[in-house]
Amino acid sequence: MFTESIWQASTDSVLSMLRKITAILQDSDSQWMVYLCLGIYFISLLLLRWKAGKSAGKAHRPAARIYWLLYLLAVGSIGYAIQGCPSMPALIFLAGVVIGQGIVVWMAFNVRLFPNSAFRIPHVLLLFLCLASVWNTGSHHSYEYATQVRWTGPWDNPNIFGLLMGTGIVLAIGQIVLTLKPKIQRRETGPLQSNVTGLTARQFLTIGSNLLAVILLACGLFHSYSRGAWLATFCGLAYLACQLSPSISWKSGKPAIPNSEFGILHLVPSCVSRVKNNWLPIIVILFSAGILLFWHFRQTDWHPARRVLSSVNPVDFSWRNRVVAWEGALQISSEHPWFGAGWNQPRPLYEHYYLPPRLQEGAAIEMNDYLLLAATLGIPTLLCFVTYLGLSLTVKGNSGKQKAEADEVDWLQASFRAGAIVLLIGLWFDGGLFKLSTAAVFWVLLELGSAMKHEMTRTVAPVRKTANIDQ
Amino acid sequence: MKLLNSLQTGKFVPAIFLVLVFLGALLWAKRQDPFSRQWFTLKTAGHDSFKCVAVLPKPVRKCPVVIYAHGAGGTLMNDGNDLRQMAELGLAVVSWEYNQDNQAVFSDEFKSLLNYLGRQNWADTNAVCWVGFSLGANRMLDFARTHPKLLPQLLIQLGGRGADQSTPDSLLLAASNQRNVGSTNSKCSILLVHGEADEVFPWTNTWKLASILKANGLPVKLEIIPGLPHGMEPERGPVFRSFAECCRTHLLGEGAWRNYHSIAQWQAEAPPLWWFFLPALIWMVGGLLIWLHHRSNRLIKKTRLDRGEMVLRWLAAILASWAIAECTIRMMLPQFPVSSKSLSFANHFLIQSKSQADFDFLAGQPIWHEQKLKTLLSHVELAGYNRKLINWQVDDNIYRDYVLSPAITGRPDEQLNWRRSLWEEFYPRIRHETVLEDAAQAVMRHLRERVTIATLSNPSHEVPDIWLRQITDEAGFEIIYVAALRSVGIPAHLATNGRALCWDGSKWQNAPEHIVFHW
Repeated sequence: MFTESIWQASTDSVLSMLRKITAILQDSDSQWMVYLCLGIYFISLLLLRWKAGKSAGKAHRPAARIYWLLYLLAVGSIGYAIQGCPSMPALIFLAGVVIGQGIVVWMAFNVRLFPNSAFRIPHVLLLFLCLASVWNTGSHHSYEYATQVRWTGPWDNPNIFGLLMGTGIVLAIGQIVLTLKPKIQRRETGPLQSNVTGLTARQFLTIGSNLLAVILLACGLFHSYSRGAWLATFCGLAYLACQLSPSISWKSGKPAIPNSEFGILHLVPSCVSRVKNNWLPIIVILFSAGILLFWHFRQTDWHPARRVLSSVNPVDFSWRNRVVAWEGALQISSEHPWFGAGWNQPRPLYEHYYLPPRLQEGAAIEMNDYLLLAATLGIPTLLCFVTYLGLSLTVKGNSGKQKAEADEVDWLQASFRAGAIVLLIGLWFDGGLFKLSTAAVFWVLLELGSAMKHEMTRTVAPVRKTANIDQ
Repeated sequence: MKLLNSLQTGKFVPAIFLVLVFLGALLWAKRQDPFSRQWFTLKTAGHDSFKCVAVLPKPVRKCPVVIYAHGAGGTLMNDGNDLRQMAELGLAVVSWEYNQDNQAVFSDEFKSLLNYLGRQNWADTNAVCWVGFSLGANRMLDFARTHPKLLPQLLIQLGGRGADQSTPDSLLLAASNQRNVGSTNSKCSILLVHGEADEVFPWTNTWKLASILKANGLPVKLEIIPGLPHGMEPERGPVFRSFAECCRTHLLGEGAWRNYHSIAQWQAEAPPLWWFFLPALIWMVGGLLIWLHHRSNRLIKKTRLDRGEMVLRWLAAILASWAIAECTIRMMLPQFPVSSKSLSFANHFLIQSKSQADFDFLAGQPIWHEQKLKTLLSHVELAGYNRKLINWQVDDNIYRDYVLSPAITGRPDEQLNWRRSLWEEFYPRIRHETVLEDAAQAVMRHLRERVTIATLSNPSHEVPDIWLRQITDEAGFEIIYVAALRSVGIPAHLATNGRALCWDGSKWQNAPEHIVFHW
């Protein structure tokens, strides 16, 4: 009884505090100050990264891609200032960017004291996501697919929940692979030595806990009934599988590294090798199977299959309304091509000036963040955003080609990028760039996935020549 | 140099492809858009600025102008649906964010707006209508009273104040001013529309205003709509459509509807999406060819396929053939005309057991002469699917005769391909309805928002034609009304007098009546 009342009191006080914070953030008199503070944080963090990169050497100077982000934020901020009215999407967008930069700077400055802090971030994220996956799964009945309740976790939207679950799955699988990869001895002790002869108890524990996380998150993902999240997770996992490819000698189709050193891990690159050598027949098989499944199971009563196939069902209003909303967003963009319609404007504009007469609600326009960004801030801004994403995701391995396959940091960053890809695809179908829960995770993963070497580990330039594992 | 190298290696191919796809989609969306919206800011003589918007039907050309003033609390953003409803009828509609507190400022703004419109090449200043709603109506009437030389050809008052006890003198003055203007210039006609259940301004005041104006010899028409409140909901859409029809008829006179081009026609005439993706496709194919050429040059030696790879390739070939065969049957067969052979194939390959009885019923009807099989299939599938979704039950016999059956007029050459387009339009409106009558009401309301009723010479009475042209006469409206009701699962048919009848669950009754103003 006593503990219950304490729990109730603490919950009430937290909720009341959150309400106050939300009120401050939404208030037109105070929001601009928060926005300004975030802007100052962003500039400071950029300067800190610049300074840290400069001191680490010429090779570690911040990449030119940051200019694209600067343009993006400059246009957004000017639009916010000119408009002169509060805008939560503008604030969340900037907050997400600042959180992403902040994490990288925090790691860069703590890397001497806590050299493995980068490796802890997925664990912390996974812990939160696992808690979210079991959060009051039966209490929210507002979203249903047919007769099935769609899980929303602590969020108010099953798509957001599904996307975060998918991100968690990709990160957890990345962690499992990271643990199974040949362990490289402490960098301080000198040249690399392969010491993988079997799995230690700690490794077993890591793998077990990550497997448990995968199960919990997959359950959440499944029950979210979010098609966008399912597809995004698939793409994230595919990216992760592709990242295994550097450890394979493609000409022979066999792992370049002796199997004995990898235990069961050698099977994964071997499969990837086979897939890459036979990509065309595999694509044909998958495509043909998809077509046959569609024709034969489109009237199925099994909800998950029906949900998947509804994406190509011509009488499904869900995806058709989204396509109509994309068209509306493009029409807004074509009428306001350079600087967009402004923050908070696309939805009311769409609802009143572009929504086809047969539809009544315009919320679908907020499901595609790319087109929403173009409608809000203009087509050049969208181009900057996409370029920034492209440059961040195609950033070359920091450690050089020779030891790419052995570098844990490269793999860790690849798993961060895979997580970011899940959210990137989710931004197209379900949105999330202007919702703090997904935006924060997205920017953190994107920045960590493209951070410079000196920001992730203690190793500083010049990169030490390491022994080739083949030798 | 770096750029050239990256071009050679094909790095930029996907990026440029994406840009081309985006641009293609952008152009397609713009081409599909039936309206052009022009946002502009004007200044009054006192240098106060105010925002305006003009919604112009495409292609932009000189057309009659409607100036709309919203009610109290209204904003330019919220005017959009009303403006589009009027612009659909080929009218250039303008609204502005007027000062709601001060009549003098309103007058200054209005004068600036009229000056601006006089300079626009899309505005036919000889065919102008002012439409005021609630406060906007009051402001416009006051402006008309004080500026008789600026009066338009038509003045429409929606839910305005009318003539209360405090204003008879000024109204008489206004009326006499208008009469003077009428004698020297073009005559200003007045349409007064009011809801019978208006809770803000009683309809009797509007009736009084109409009497005063009539007594002074002005052409006035009064429409009191039964049961409507001040905001005109839920009939706002049909009301706006109706008086916009009046506008067009009045401003363009004889033959107002001769060249009417609906937005559905505009969208149907737009080039298909794939046209706009052609540059991207050409780019991608070119890139792919270069990449394949580059790759074939780099390949040293083709390795022998092992057993697994051979099996994989065979499996791919078999599955691909199967998928192609399935697609061919399922996509080509519906394109054939209805015949005993095509029906037999469809029965074998396309019809599921749960739809069998409906398919047999429809296939047995003598209405399919020269009709495509896909029309029959779409009626069976959609009617059955809709039946599962709706919240009421209909007896099997009534369902088949008055919901599933696509024949409405019974003419031998009747076009039957209407169910999908109507279902997509009307089902979202009735999805939450549980009572047949309410659903029928919702269908009538939306249909009236979309289709104009006018006196036409020799109009088509085919449902697909009416839906595409969005205009018909009274008889045609009743026909499409029956089709719309059937498309959402409400049993309906035409009575001998041509009126639509619908099933209320126990008996046949007249379908809900629609709003139409006759000028």
